[in-house]
Amino acid sequence: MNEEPGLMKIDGDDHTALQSNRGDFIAAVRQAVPLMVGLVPFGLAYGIMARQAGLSWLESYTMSLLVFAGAAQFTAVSMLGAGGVQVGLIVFTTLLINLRHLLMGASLAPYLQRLNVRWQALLAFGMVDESYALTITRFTTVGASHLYQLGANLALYLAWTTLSGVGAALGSLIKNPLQWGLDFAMPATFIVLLIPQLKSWKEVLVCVAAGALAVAGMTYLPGKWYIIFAALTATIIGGGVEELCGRQ
Amino acid sequence: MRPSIMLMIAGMAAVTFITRFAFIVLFKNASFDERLSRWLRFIPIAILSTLIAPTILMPQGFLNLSPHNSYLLAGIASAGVALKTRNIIATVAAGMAVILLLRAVLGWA
Repeated sequence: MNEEPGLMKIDGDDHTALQSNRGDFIAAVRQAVPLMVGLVPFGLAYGIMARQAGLSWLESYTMSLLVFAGAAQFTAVSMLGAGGVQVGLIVFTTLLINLRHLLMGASLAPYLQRLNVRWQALLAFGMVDESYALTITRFTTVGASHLYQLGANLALYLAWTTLSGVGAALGSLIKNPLQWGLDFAMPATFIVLLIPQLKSWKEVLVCVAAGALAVAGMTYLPGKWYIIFAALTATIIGGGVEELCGRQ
Repeated sequence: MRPSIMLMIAGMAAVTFITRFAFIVLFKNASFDERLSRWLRFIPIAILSTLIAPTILMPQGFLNLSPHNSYLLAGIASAGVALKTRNIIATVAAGMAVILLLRAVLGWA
């Protein structure tokens, strides 16, 4: 895979540049280790939840292999578990949850323009919150390297899919994962992803508004529509406040 | 694999890939509209908050702000650890420890 001719074009024919890129791949995998460990409760909990929502082992594992989006997969299986939810609504919710990737893609785009479209697609497929955080930090501090991004993506992909598979295998054995406190792994992980983003009162306002609207929406709206209702409304509130307050 | 589940997975995979790929392939020269990016930065905050709030504030399906709500207390503990450490493992461990402790020792829901 590293010998693909496209790579030589990107790095020129400079042999040392290619070698340093291989070092980048290893550096990425090494730096991804703490995040892979952080995925353990998350990946296991997904697999267990998927089985309890009625998915087979193969269906649970295939979703991780093809979708590779933790928050969206959790939401999908909890919607399935609630029952009576249409496929279209789950796909639409997935789209909304993953809209944040548009911004991540935009910020990475200038570094990836010299790659051919197959490489861009490969790197885009593996761009999750954790690998994006590693990649953009590396690109802005050390320098752009597609092999660094590939290493980060691959490390988190292997961790996520393996843990999902193990969790889904355990899912039929563990009768009540709530007793293990595993059900709290997801909100706790979301909390640690959310907290660093609350940089000013505007972000805090969006967070509080979304939380309050989610509680109200869950009480008064059918099914899982509260996710779309609360997230969209809170985003519009944030954007509106931003427009009113000018561009500080 | 049931056809309806395969359809769901295929749809989820397609929309997820589109959101990840769209701006990488469309934005040739990094001239990302500043105003749009100021709006978009609220989306992850709004979505994460939307997913967190009901699990912590209404674990039994109704609003429960009492101190006997173990999810609420675990959420507060997790937020504190997240604020201090920004560490996923420490945050998840703190939250699960509080939940397990309250359940085992005090028998709370």
